[in-house]
Amino acid sequence: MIEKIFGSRALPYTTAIILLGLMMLPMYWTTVTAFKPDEETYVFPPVYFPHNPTIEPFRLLFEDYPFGSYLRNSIVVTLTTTLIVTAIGVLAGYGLSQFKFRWADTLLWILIFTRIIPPLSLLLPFYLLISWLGLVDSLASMILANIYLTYPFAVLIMKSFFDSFPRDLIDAAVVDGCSRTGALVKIVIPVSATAIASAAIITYLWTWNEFIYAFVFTSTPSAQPVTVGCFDAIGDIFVNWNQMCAGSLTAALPGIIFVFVAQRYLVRGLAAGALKF
Amino acid sequence: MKAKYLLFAVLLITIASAVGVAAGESTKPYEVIQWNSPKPIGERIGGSTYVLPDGWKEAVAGVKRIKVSNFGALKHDPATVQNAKKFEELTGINVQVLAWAEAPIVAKTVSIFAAKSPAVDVFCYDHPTTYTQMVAGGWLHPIDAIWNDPGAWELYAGPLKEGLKAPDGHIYGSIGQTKTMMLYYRPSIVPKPPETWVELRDMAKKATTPKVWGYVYSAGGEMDIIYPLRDMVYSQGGRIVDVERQRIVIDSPEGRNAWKMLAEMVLVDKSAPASVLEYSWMGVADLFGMGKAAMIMTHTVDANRYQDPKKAPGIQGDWAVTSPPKWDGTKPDSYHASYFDVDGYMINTFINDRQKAAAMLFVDFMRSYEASYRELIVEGNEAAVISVYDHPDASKIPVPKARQAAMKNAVLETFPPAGRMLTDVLMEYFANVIGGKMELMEGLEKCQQVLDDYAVPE
Amino acid sequence: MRLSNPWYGFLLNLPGLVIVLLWVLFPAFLLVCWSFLRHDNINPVTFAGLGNYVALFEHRLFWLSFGKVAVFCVGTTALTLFGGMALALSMVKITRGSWFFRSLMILPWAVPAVVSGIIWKWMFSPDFGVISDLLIKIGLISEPLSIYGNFDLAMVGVIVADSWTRIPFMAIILLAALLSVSPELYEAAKVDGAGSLSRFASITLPLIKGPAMVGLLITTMFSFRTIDIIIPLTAGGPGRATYVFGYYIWDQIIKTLNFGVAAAAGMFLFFMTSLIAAVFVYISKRET
Repeated sequence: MIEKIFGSRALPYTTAIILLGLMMLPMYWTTVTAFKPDEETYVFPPVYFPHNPTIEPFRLLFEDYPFGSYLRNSIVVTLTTTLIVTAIGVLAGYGLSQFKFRWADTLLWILIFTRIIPPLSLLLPFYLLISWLGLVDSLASMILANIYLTYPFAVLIMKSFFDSFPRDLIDAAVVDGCSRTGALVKIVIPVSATAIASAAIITYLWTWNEFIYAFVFTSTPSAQPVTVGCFDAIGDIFVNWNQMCAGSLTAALPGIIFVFVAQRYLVRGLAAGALKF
Repeated sequence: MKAKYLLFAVLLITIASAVGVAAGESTKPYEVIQWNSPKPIGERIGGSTYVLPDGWKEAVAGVKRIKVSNFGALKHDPATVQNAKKFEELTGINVQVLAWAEAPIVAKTVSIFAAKSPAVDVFCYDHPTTYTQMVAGGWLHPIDAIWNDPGAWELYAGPLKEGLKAPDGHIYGSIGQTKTMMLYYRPSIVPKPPETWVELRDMAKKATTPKVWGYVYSAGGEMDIIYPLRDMVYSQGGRIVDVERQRIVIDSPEGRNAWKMLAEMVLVDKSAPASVLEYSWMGVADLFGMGKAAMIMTHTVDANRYQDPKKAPGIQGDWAVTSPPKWDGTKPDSYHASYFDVDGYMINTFINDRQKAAAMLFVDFMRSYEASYRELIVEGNEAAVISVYDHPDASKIPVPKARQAAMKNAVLETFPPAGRMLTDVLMEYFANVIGGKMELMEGLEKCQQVLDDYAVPE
Repeated sequence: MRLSNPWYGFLLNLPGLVIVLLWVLFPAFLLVCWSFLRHDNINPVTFAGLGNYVALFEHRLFWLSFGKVAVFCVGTTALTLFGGMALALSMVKITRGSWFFRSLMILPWAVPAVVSGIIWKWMFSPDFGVISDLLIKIGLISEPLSIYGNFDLAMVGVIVADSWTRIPFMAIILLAALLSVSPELYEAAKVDGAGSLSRFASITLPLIKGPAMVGLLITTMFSFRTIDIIIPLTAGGPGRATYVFGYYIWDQIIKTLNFGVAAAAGMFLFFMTSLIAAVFVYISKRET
């Protein structure tokens, strides 16, 4: 009996469908509400599929709130951070892994340590630092904060990956006359594309989703990212929930698209070696 | 020989001009402005057109822009936007209004002060709950100079003069917007509005149906629970701030009555939802606009919103306003009172002196008749300058006379420092009672104890 | 070649290190300093010794929020582990349409936590919420549900919402671990006559223990200090029903404006997260 249930072919699919169905309910509901006119939003029992779908909520969202600016800010901060962190993370991971210098382990522990300190604890001191540098309400402040938040993990992933990287490849290249840097560029990076991709993806998602620091550091749409924009909107007078859902969808969309596109790298990258702690 | 004399002369002239410049600099730019000319302040700002004070031009020479924070999104403050534009036309100084969300406004304000940053010139602030704290921080630039005329005080409601004075005798704040609350109701459900809270409670019971709550109030945040509590206490002639001891007092006969009625409306009458624990004052107004409440107390400015079918779809043609109720028949009519709200402006002491001059000019303008006119007619807020209600245009807005009367009766209380922390305690214990974690009066007594235990700053 | 090695490696690390140390060391230093200062924005700033820490431990709200976060953390971790495990185990066996299923699985992770809070707030709306409606339709309740009127429901609500955002991460880690278990092990066991459940218990579980511990550690640590989802969803309320420790710190900064106590609380939070990490490291070291 037990064997019939647990060994059946259908079980994984059934379980997955049920669980995923439940998990997707919020996304479904948000999407559906985002296309509802006002009359269909504020009713109970709720309307599960709009009779008169409209894109008014989106239009009004961009009209009433500087949502375009919010999106632009998020994109700039996220792309810049991801580029910087991935680049120096790869270098650092390579350095930590391939060059057995004395403080390699200490360095790694220091990096991990910086992430054990809760970001919330450092919020206020960080803010003071930012304002002394005159960077309040600037994109630079968020880029810096996000680099601090994501860099250690990127290094960790890359180092773990490089640790299990076949050294003979590198050594062979070196024998062929490549310098260490050359080996890095020509051999290592192309082969580690998956791991690098997964580090980049995680950095991208974490930066895009960051809220607390952005909330405190920024105060105008010239620098506020989309997470803060959404939050500000629900604190406003008369929350139009259909507009809010439109906003939430817009805020979540880049991450969602990214995930669909890059998902296979993520799993593979993690499996390939990031987990060999 | 000649060259030596020449050199000496040049040196002398240089020293003289340096001294001259230094002497000139000892007068601060903002002290150059003569607020009482060409006319005394009261007339200068109280006339239908605002008149700039003498000396303003040289005081603000070189200032291109000032930054002013604002409660919430600008689309809800068309008057502020227009006033800012007018100020720019008059002075050439650009006013950049920063729309800050309500929840972190105090935190953002204080963190700028804590960093001694000149990032923002003028801050909006909620006077009743945060004034004493801001003053105590030592971050504000005193603006006694712009209030230096008895005629100026007469333009406004009585409570303002005492209210704006800080404990050290100086004035650090000025008026941005004033508001009070009134009773909104649905004539189709409640044909004749209640005159007293006792009546209201009965009517709410009868008016409650599965689709409509009889009465809804806000108890969601520390800034929300005080509205219903204050209003009910004032309606009995009571107060919730003990000025002598710098404490908030809820354990008074009036406080007990208010606490009891509010809790019982949810727990006993079932005419108010338990979700009041989540509603903000904005949420309550929203609910009325959607047609889910028969009666609420909210700001007079919401009348504008309820006229708009897009923003208040559920109640078109079916809403009305009346004065706040007094407690019961035994109380005098002057107890038809709600709270007097001042959303004020205060000036950052860490900005340079020329910016201070520009900021003072801005603040001077925003309390004028002209600015108040826009607040009332364009936005539907209250007019700080009382005489604006007598303007013929005032008849265009809903119930001007009732609002004028409500403003006259409204009560202004200034909370002790850390006011929001104290009201947070009120919110917590009230929630405990509604959530069933404490008995009615047990909650009130424990709450008062915690309020009293709070350390008083030296 | 060998001579230049160690320094070269160090050099590669330099830019990242400089940034992180600058950005972290200085604020961390400030944090420690502030925790010993009386800095409440009402009185002048003075040295307070352990004053803030004493105030912290005497503060009613401190203990209350600590209790709340314990409940929240345990609840979220448990639900996340359960959900993540169930999903990962299913995904491993799914071959057709795996790209689609896996993408859906990761989806909630792509949504910013604060936006999730907004989404769930709307779903839990006492007046128009879809959760109420579904529960009524299933027949579990008869009247619309309000998590804002009931303290316990509020806690359940935030646990559900937060777990929703964390399950994908756990599922991915477990899935990656499951995928690296070589199938021959299962084949051999099947040949030996082991049933599904016993294969799971004796092969799968031990082999994925490492990554599972990592996932648990991260989930526990992060959910212990999270407030991103609570701020929009319940703001710590109703009353103090969902007033977790992170929210206590947030309030000290934003509402109470007592930076000294906030710093002390921040130090305490750091201490707690280190403790959690240490416990996990100890447990996993013991296993190996």
